[in-house]
Amino acid sequence: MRILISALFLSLMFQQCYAGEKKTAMSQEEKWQKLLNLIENEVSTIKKNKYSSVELDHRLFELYCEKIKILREKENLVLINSDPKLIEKAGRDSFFKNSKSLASEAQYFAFTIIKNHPKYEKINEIYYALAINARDYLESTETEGFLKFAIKYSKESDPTFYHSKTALAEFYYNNKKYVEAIDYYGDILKNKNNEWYSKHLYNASWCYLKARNFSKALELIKQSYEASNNKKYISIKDQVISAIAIFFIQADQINEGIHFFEKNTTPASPHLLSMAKSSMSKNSFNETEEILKSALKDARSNKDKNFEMKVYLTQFEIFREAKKMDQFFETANKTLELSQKYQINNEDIEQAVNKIKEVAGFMQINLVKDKLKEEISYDRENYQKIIRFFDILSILDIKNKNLYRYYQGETSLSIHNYGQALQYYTKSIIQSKKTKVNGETTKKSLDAMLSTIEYAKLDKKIENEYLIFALKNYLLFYPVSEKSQSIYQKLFSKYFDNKKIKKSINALLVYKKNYPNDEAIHREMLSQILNHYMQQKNTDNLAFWINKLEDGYLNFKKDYIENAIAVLGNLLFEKFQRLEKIGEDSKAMVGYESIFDSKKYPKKTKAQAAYAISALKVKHNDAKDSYKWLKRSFELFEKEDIKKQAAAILQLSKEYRLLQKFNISSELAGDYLKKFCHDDLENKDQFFEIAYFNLFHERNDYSKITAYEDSISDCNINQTFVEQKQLEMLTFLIFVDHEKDSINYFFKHSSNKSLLPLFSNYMKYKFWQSSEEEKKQYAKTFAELDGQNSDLKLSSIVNTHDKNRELVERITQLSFKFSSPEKFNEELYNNELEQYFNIISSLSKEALQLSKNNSTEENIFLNNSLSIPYFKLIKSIDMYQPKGVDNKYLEGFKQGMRQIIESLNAKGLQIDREKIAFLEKNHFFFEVQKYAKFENNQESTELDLQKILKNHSAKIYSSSLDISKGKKDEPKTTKNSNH
Amino acid sequence: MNLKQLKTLITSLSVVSCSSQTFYKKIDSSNLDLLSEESMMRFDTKRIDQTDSSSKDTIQKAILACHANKFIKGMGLLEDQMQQNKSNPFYWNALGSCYFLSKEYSKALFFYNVGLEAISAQKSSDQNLAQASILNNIGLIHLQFKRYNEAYDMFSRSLSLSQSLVTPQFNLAQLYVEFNLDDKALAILKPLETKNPNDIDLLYLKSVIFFKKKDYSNSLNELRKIKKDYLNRADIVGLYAYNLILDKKLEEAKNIIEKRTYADEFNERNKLVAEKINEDIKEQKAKK
Repeated sequence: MRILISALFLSLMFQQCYAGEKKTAMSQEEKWQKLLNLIENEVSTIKKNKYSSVELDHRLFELYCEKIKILREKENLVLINSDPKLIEKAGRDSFFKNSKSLASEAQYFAFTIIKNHPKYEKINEIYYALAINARDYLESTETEGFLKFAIKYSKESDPTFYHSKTALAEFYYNNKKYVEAIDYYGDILKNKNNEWYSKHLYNASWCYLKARNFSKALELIKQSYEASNNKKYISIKDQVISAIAIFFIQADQINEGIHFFEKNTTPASPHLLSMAKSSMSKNSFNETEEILKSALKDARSNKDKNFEMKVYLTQFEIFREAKKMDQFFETANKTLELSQKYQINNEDIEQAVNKIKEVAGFMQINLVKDKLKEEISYDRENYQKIIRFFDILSILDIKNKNLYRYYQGETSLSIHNYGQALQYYTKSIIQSKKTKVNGETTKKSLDAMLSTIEYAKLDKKIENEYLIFALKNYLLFYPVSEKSQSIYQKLFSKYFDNKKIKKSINALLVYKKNYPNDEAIHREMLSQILNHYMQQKNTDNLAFWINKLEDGYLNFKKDYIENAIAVLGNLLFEKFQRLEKIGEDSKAMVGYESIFDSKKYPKKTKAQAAYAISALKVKHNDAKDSYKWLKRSFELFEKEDIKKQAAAILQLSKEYRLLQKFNISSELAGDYLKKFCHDDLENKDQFFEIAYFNLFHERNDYSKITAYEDSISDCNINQTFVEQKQLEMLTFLIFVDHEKDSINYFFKHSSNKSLLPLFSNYMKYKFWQSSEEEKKQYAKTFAELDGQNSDLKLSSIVNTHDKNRELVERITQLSFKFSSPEKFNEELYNNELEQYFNIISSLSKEALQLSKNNSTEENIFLNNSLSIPYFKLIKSIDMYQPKGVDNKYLEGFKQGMRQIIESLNAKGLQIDREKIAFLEKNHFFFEVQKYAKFENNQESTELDLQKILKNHSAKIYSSSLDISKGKKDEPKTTKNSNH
Repeated sequence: MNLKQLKTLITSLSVVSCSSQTFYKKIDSSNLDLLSEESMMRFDTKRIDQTDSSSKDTIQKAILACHANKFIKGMGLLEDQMQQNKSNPFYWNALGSCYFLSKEYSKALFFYNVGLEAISAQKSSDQNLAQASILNNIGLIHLQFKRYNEAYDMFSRSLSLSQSLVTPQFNLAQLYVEFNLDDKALAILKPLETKNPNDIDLLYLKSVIFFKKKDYSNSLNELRKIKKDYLNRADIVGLYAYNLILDKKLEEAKNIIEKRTYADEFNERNKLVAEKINEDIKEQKAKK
């Protein structure tokens, strides 16, 4: 039967192998299923057998055990592939229900076999199988018992006997029953023929080790290693080498151990390392260090840099645990050196970093003993080491370099070395910038820096540098944050205080960009900048900002902008005004023109430049160019600005006039007045005056003058002033003797009563100055004028003059002719002479009567003729020759007449003297009726030539006074010299 | 030249001859010019050029230009010097005179007035001289418009401010003679004669005065003192020839009247004198 079963099983196995060849890709599941099918088939076959025997039952039990094994494998696979959460929820045991259930059934079945067949010769195998099932599937404590039954029912020669003891020894070992295990291993090791002898030695060594019999343990494990070298036994060298270090340590056989590894392993260093760790666990520092040295030596001899690193890592642990900080420090430096020279595994570097970091952190915490004390005390050497650790870390762990710099800062801060701390914080921040990291470390460094600066009491310059650095970088990393708003302001102030204006502007610009709503603060900042530029006289920059302000930048108030423009103008012009003062007008002009031509200055400043050029041109007597530039300035100035310059414009207008440019002066003053016709304007009346009189001077054109008056009639110029100027205008018209225009002007302004006396006198003057023929024309004109203005009463002088003229005509036409009979009649002559005297007397009386109501002029006219009768009578008397008288009588007659002539001459001359006296008394030195007799010579061909020759004209011969007192030595400056 | 061209030429010549003839009273030598230190009014072109070339005084150069009727040049020179001379009344006097000479009387008066306003800024020693100059010249404007009283007033004030000035005295004398105050004129002229007995106009004026006083001998004597070159001057020639008639020197009168120069103001009377000379010569021949 047994042969049958074996054959069956072998055939099955063959089929399995064959199938495996044919279908190599068969899954584990399929294999299990096939095996299970085979098992089920055999179980079914056995169960269907009519015959029953203990061997078949034993076989069934074995099949059950096989099936349990397959089920457990399947269950393990399911467990492995299951969701851990599900495992946790369901419980690990729930996965093994089937195998466990089957194991229990099999155990029950085996008990049935044992019960039914207590003498069964292979009962020891059943017990052994029960023990293994209990151990592997049921986790039952019954294992020990089953194994002991197996040993009990086995013969010493049975393999089961040996296997059971081995299993029991392992059972005891696993259950820490080392003494019991040692007992069984004692028996087991007697059998040196077992291929597992090496393994049993190994297990036994462990039992001795656990039982603290270290020398025995070392002995056995060494035997195990040796046995492994024997091909008779299974080699467990690797296990031995892995484990033996602890054995050498525990047996205090360090050197032997080192030697063992050096001899038996290549490289030895990994094993030496584990040996060192073991050694350290025994607190044997010196030994450990010795082992590590050997390990290091081995690693170096093998040029295994990664392992050298691992040695260092171990050294770190050991030195730390042994508190050997010097060695730890040394190892750290070596680690750095190694990592810098060679490519070392990242994981190892990471470990080194963690170890160094841990120690450095610990040292840092403990550096200052009493942190609350004002005078801090610390170990300077430790401080240096900590700093060095962080230096090393910053290289090893470069991605966290900023953090280590920060730690260094914190370390320095803890010993109150603020300067050093600030340097490290700075480095930390610089590193953050390099790596563009704005995490917690960066923020901490910045915060630490800002607070440290306050305490550091550094030199002001250095403090500023640090503060600016911190503030600037804070904003670079955190343009918008809880603190940033105030930091912008601090940074701006700092830059500004340090005269770093461009940077302060940048701070403002970034602040504005990130906090657009803080406009009032931005304005305040920019105001400071502009004030600075004003103080520094930096016109270019000032101009740049004013242009922006004018475009509405930051919504500055108009007054402010105006003021800034004014200051800019002053600054720009100050330089050129200085040039003007020292006579460098050409350079000043070039300067003003450069301002005008430049695009960078505000419109108003350019306007001011044009205005300055205009003024300079006038200074150089160039009115035309001055006006050209003035007009350019007007094109750029706002109307209100032009209005404010009224006084200066007025002055320019006057200057143009002084430069003989009456037309330009008029145009300027006239246009200006029209521009502000309806405004309240300073000097409005003077603008009117200049334009008004310039028009007259320029062309004496009445129509233009009156047209201009009409054009500004609604400009609200003071009426009294206007009337006063009308009087002056009439005076001018009269001065140049524009009679017709004067008449028209008077009547156009007849409402101005102040004109009447002037006009009336002028008309009278013209009347008196005219010839009698012309006076007749005036009589007509006056009648018309009186008709237009009854107040004139010009006709009255005509009437008076007619009366006077009639008398003067009678006087001038008077003729004294004595009768001349053949015989002189003395009585007749005397009567005639008396009659003539009476005529003269009568005319004189008549003249006297007229003179009482006469004007001065009329009396001068009249007086001029009063002496004529006397001289006419003298002539007549002188010419008279009496006839028919003897010489004696004639002589007597002549003698008598001479007396009369003298008397008459005296009278005539007296009248002439009185005439002159009257003229002088009335301030009319010359006869008012003089009407250019000299010029009328051509019409006087009938006159006596002598009379003509006596006429004289002062106008022809009078001379001007041309005395010159110019500045002879001054250099000639002309309008062209400016260019 | 064809006939048509000839006619055109003749027409143009006759237009020239009919055009106005300005009285030329220029004097070619300062020895004959009593006013040479004060007035350039009687400077002939040569004297103007000589003075201009030797002068460094822009104001003087400007006045000279204006007296030479080069008004644009004169005014331009002054314009270029305005700012430097703003407070110099002599400058404004010169500018006023340029406008006076160019017959722009309102502008002349304007600039004279500017000069008067500037006088206060002038050093005191020159104040009176400056004011006297301007007032004299304003007097000339008044004279242009036959405001004799105003002219007299200006000349008088000018003289009172600077009594050593000859020009206002000379101008006053002219006025006196025009208005038959001959003795007053003589009173002025006699002392002036001591300063320069050869002044053409002074001698002529004295001659006029004596002529008016019917002192023909002295009238002729004064004329004979005049440098011969000037005897044919439009004004002098008539009086001189007439005095020669009276002195029975008809041929001499004829000679000189025939060599007369022409000027609108004197052409008619000179024509009458010439006619009288011819008549008298005719009568004289007839008697013979």
